[in-house]
Amino acid sequence: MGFLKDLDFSKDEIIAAENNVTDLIINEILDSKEIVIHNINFLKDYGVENFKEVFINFCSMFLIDPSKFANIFTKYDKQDLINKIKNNVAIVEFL
Amino acid sequence: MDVQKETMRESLLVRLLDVLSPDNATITQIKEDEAQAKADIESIGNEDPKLTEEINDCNEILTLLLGYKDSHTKLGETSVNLIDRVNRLFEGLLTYDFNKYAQESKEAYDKYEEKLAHAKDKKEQNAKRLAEANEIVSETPKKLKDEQDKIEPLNSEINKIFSGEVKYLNSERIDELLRKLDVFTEEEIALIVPAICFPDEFDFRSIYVNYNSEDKDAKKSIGSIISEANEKAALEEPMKDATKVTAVSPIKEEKEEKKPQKKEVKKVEVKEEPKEDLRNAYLEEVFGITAADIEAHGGLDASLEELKEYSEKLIAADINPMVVRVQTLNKRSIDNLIRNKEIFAEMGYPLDEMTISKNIGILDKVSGTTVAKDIAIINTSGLSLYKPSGKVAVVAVTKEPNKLRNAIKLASSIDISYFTENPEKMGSFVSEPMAHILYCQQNHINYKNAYGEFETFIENNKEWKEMYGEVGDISILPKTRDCNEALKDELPDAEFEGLIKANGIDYYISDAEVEDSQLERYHEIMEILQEINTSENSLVIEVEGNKFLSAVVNKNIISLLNGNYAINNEEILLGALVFGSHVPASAIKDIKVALNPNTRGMKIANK
Repeated sequence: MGFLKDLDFSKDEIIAAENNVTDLIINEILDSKEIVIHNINFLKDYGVENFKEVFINFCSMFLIDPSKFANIFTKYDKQDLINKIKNNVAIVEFL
Repeated sequence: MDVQKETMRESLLVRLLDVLSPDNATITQIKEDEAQAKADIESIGNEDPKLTEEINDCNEILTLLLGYKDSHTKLGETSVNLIDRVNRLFEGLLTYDFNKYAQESKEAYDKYEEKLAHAKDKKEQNAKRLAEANEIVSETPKKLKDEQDKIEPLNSEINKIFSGEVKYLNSERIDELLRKLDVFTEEEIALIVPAICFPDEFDFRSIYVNYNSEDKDAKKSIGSIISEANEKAALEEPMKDATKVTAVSPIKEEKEEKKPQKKEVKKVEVKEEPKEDLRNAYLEEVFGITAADIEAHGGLDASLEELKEYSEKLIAADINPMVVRVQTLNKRSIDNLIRNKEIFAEMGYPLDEMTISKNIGILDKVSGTTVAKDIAIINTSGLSLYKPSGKVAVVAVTKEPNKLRNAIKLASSIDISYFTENPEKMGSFVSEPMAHILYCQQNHINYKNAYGEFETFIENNKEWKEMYGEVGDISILPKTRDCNEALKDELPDAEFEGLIKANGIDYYISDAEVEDSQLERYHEIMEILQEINTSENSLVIEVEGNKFLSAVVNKNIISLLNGNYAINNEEILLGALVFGSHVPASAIKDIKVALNPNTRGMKIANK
């Protein structure tokens, strides 16, 4: 997933993301690279500081269409959500 | 991803293997050219002296004939009266026709002149061909090397992944090497790069194995499989993109037909603009997909009628159409999603709307067969896909079943709680965290926090190295191969073969049943096992500190009992425990002590 380099991911972070999922998902991410980039950028621009951690832990979620991906996050109070994700990335699973 | 794309990819992969073959068409041609050139050199070498002789002979004869021809012509022309008189003197007994002789001499002369020209021509051609042939022979080693240099790096990369040397390949490198082959188009390269990098997800491994099989029929079967798949694809989506059905045809033909196709599609889109608006409105209203989503995907082929059909199918399957993504909107992905949802439910994991929505990129993609096999492996191993949070770890069932089974066996030998507490990790690359855990166990390092959760350094390699340096890599993990080798010396051949057979057949960790005739003995063995097992976790059996997955041990016991091998209970248990496990080979000695009725229960020194 070399394209992650352009999104500020370090080599170790890319390896961590790749190690966290199966080959099938990595391939799907590569196939849908544009969507994944769109969604990562959304999270980054939205102010989620640990967006890379979110990606590493919930890679497959980034395959969702951009509008639906954004809806997952925008339905909550922005600052509250950003803080909560920063404190515990696991809450993304419950959004 | 649609069926045509997959079948096209398979065709391309077979074509790639043809290109990478040590006797590929180019290499074969080079070798054939060289063989032909050598044969020509030899043939010319034999023929040339004969031609020289022929030319010399012709020249001699021609000189002679030229004399006859000239003299006869001269006589014929100048001595008409004399000849006439002579002819009359002999009154028909003898006739001298010098004109006739002159004509015959001329014909003979012409014949030899032609023969000489032919021989000279042939000699000239031979000289030219000889020069060419010598050039071919001298250039062959370079040509072969150039071709080898083109295919070798890619072959080397492919060998790395199939030999297990690497887990995946660098797609940019593969892309570059494919370009160097100068065989595939941009589109074709884009299609096969992922299959090479991730061979198990695209059946490249099976294509590769079949291709390299000695059995020529097997090679043929690849072609027929692909052909069948193409036919199936053509049948499955006949109306969606009629031009794509040409994937059945050879690749060259398809390329030729692709361009006009695109134009046709564009025309239809322009003509049906109002319908396009309706379709987009429908997409947003029913599927929650916006025009921006479609744009981000680079378009959507499905018609309004097809979208309606998909929506109806989803609703009938109790799936809210709002959960899908743009890529789901094709027949194959819709069917996949519906089937996968059913499989999850049937195997104990009904999926809620939020789970489907967040995992749509998996559920519309992964094959139902993989899902069913993976869940069967997880369930029969005694594990669960339910996370402690109550959510289903969908991601775990995207793993190639054999890899999943091995990951579970590995974790069971080291710390199965890694999977019970984090079932989603069953979908991860598990060797590295397992090596870290094993290192911690061996060096009495606490790898769980106060709440019993795994420390982050287990998974985070950078953090691990910062804390412990270059230790605890995957090379410290015991290899099943070593363990099996050591076990081989302890068991009769037949029993060992039986274990291999059972392991091979048993794709899932099956719920094999013990035959009635062996039931009593089975209970005896289970009693021994109970006696030596020190594990408090029912998922694993622990003997002298060595851990084994209970389900696998049980399956092995049943297989060996049903196989009626002439072995005692202790031997059955030794094989059932150790075979295919991830304990060190040295564990066999300790397990034998624990199994021996005379030493059972005795503490082993230095443990």
